[in-house]
Amino acid sequence: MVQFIDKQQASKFLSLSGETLKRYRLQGEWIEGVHWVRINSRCVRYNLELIQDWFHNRHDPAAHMRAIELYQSSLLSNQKKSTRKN
Amino acid sequence: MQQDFGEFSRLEQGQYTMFLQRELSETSESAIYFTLPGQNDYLYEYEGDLDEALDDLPEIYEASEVRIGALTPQAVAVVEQLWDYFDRTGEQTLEGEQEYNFQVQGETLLIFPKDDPGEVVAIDRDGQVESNFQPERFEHLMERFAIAHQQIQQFETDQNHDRSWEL
Repeated sequence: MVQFIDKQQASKFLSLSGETLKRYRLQGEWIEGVHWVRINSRCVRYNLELIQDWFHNRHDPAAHMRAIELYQSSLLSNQKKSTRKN
Repeated sequence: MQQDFGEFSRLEQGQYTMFLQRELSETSESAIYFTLPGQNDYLYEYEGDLDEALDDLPEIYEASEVRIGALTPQAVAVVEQLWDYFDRTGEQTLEGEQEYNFQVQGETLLIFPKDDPGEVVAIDRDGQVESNFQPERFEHLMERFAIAHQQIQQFETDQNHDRSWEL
């Protein structure tokens, strides 16, 4: 299979260290279920898009909250079932 | 098997694939970091070593809704036609008339819903399929392939008919 990661997407987190990621997660800076989710007892998944937005809007919580709401509304589980053309 | 792509190494465990983020993983004492096919916006952090993470991949796939799909015979036939189109024209993208767009990246055909480019089905040249489509969406895509297959067959029948008239 092909690499799905292009340079732009990879650069979203290349400037972060693993320790930084863990620190923000464990200190509660990032919200569980939003910025990260626990996959199993040993694995967590970070939402890089929202984390990037969090960095951009650290001094504007309202703007970041809008990004969170937009993300949550985009989830299929929050969408009405669409009627598709056949 | 390992293939390197910039900062990432593609690793396979049976039918499962991960893209190991080498720099982050090498600088971390207790965790490794990786992404999964079709999930560019997510970074996975695994507490343990690489072998343990690879062993855990099936569970992570399941929990992350990365699915390994199976194409219907009609879909296989249409995908062959798509490959033929991309090979013949040298194009990299194709906008579908209805609900899906197509893109070639290397040896992989990517299929995106027009209303949600975050979802993707990836089909390699060997027919291996990975997908993060919801089951309903995947089923719908198979239905669209079935319709396209019918249209292609009808087109070929018409062409043969024309040829017989020409003869």
